[in-house]
Amino acid sequence: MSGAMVKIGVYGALLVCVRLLPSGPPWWGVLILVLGGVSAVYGILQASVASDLKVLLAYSTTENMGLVFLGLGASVLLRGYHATAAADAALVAALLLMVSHAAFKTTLFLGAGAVAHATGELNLDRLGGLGKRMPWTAGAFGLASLSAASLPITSGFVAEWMLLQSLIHGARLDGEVVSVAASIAMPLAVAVLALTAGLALLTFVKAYGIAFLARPRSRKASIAREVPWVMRVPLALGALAVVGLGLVPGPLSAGIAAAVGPVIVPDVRTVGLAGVSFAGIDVVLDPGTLVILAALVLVPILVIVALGSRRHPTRVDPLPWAGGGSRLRPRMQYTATSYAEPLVRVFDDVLRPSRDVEVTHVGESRYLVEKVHVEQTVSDVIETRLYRPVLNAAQRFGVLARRAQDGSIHRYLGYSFAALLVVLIAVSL
Amino acid sequence: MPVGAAVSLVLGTMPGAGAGTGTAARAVELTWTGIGAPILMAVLQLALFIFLAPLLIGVIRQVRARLEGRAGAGIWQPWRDVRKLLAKEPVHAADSSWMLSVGPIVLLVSSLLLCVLLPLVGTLALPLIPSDLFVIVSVMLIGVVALALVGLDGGTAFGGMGSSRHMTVAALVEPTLLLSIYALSIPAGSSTLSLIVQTRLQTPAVIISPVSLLAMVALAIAIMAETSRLPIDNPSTHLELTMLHEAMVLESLRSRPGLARARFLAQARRPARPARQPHRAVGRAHRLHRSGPPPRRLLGCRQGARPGHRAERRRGLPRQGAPVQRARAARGVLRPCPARRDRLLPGRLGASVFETTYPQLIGLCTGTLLLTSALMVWRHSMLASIRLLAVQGLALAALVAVIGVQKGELEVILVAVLVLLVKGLGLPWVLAHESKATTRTDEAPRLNPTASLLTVALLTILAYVVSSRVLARDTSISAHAAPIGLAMVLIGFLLLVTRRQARSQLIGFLVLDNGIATVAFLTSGGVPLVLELGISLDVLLVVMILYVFAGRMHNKFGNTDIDQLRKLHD
Repeated sequence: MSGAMVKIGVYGALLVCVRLLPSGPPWWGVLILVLGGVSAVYGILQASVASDLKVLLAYSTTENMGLVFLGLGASVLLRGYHATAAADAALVAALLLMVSHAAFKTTLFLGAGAVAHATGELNLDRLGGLGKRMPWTAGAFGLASLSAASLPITSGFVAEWMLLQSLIHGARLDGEVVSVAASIAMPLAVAVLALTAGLALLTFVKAYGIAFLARPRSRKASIAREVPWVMRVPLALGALAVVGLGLVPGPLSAGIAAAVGPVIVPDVRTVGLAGVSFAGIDVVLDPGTLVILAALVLVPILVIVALGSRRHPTRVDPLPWAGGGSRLRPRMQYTATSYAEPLVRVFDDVLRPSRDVEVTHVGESRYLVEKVHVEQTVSDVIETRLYRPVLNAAQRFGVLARRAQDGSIHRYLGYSFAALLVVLIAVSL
Repeated sequence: MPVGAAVSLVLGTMPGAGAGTGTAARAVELTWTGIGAPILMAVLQLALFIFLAPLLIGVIRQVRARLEGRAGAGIWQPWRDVRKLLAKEPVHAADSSWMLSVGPIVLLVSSLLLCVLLPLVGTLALPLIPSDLFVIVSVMLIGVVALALVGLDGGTAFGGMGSSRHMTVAALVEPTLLLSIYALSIPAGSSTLSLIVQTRLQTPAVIISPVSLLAMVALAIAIMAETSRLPIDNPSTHLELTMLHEAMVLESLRSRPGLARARFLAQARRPARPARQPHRAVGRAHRLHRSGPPPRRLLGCRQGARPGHRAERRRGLPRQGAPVQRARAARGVLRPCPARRDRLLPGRLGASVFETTYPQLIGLCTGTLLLTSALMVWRHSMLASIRLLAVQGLALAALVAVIGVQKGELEVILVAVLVLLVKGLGLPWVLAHESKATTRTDEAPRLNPTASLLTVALLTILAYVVSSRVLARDTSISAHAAPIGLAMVLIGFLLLVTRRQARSQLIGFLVLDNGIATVAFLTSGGVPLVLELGISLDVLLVVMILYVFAGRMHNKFGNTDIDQLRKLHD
């Protein structure tokens, strides 16, 4: 659903902006850009404070779709000001982001499903230590998380790089300023992109780290077992797709450019080891070469490590350091909620969390505490301040409109007749 | 002062810039600048910074010690620490996973990659991996993520706290880094760091500008945050409350070489960051690929064009002197197709007679249609309405036949026959047959006859006004008669709204349908047979349904007064 269904909306927008009306006015681009930017930032903020794994992934989809619309808006805006090379690059970047999002989000949701299947839990605050019990799931989820956080060498990284390049080169054309609107919109778009990238990083470190590392935080997580091979195969395929798409951006972008259609022809080429290059804005990226470089740097390090471990073999100690005691319990670990707490503090004007602390004392004492109950809820502002009032207003209007439905067929026919008359009069004015 | 910036400023004019003087020197230089120089530069940078990183920390600590009145440990102490830690036995906790061993290695690789990619010593770029700003920041962030995961892997509150704070700082540092470098790259038009550095070195006067200064301040703050310096983090604190990165580093205490690596690469990142204080960038002229010429209009001929149309089109052409140009311009115009009526009607005499009487025939048919509609509003009796409907159907069929004969298309004549059969004969027969069993007259409708006829007049005027706006450019004869069709539609609606009996409403609906058909025939010059078949089927279906419906109503209520159905609401 996340891989394909949410893209239908993007497909509709693309049909209008790219196929049907490619020479639309620039303010369309600004509108799409603003909507995309707001979705992206708010989506990833909500994802970073979410404790339920599927809610986190759903909000991350909101963020990615927001970025796709950001790219699309930038493309329409730049095309309106005739900066066609950067506009084409933005469009290809948006489409590449869609493709990579399909790959990694599918894998992530499959992983979440595997976790739910194995533990019956989706609340991150109750998971943990699944990396050792479910290595395949952990590996696939980890690779897909890398892509979601736009880290090399995955497809998410290439898509975000491309989007950033198109925005950077969009503000200027041949050394001249394209337009005032573009000069304001492009840096703001870069800021939005950068912020969402940073927050996505935190979100997915939280999701992967809390769920798969350290020790289980509940009984259900401690009895988890790896899922059957029928579920492992799609996970592996998804992870392969995520990494594979990231290593061949050149042919992929060329394919996307061909799909964009006869009206708009982006100038994208394959260079090096399946790297991508945009001749119009003069940028090039070859992830394959980066991999080779990293391998070259890695080899001496591994040699040193191997030599070192032969001289000093690792000793396993059952006692982790816990600040001077051995009372370490799994519940003492950081949870997802606590992991995101500094971020909530930074963004508390936007998120407006409500915190409830309930302290139960022992007997009549005011100093001896038996139990402390802390509850934090972060509500979705857009849902409470925008969707709900609009829906309520629509419902009220519906109730009002019901008064026009009194059962007389003549009246209903009269309504159609009146509507036809109004239309005819309006047309002839 | 950051070491890297100093070195970079001094050595920045090394290989990339100058051109060789002799031919031999030039040949050597070409191969040198191709592959050899970048690789050598990368290795040199790496070696230099691996050596310099702990030295930098040593210098900082020594300066601080002296300022605090202590003797200090000397600038080589960090190197001695590394040597000591590397010789220790690694200890892993029983619960830790592979992340504890792999994490520090990943962090080290990312830091060393940064040393290779950044233009620290020279500004030569590797051919396919530009030192592009996003690539650099992403490589750095891989290391950040690895460290955060190591912190979480320990499973202690301490590591989680460090990891959480570290990631929050990283989440806010990434946009700062990206934005400040972007700001500095705007004048350049390229985000490749080596280009930015190179051109700033060439034009150093541009360093002093508001954008530059603000960006450098932002970059300085980001560097302090990432390299755990005060006021964001205190690298030598022992208080948990004030730890950000130390907490994670202490988690890898359990793996001593890991700690060595972690300490080492934490130091390695410090010089790399200040070197990113860029200087200025140069703009590069990019050629804009202009889109191709607009596509040519497809040429062909238009069906159903009238002579009047052709005259109008020619009037719209620009007056051009040379006949060649006019001919070329004329070729862009859609010519009307040659008329096909010569094939159908024999003899030219018959054709000319028909031509002259054609407008009158059209007028006769449309007049009949309007008259029958108006009469239907006036007469209340069911039987009269049915007869008027039959006449209307006949007139419609005649209209279609006239149009078909004028155009000479067999298909249209077939449609005329179909209309005659269905609307002229079939439907009225069905209606008459089943209404014989019921009451003959309609009870008084809602509007009295005078008011209803006035309304008909008003609606006809409205139809003419609207048509004149919509069909302003179509000057053919049949288009003149199109308002009649619209008037019929409105009259049909009026009947629907004002009649009480179900069957009367059906008649109103049929008038509406006739009106739509009239407009269709008159404005388009003939509807395809298939379409007409479909529409007829639709109308037949409606009649059948209403027939059944009226029968049920009659059985239940004794008459078919629609006003009795008041329960049809929510």
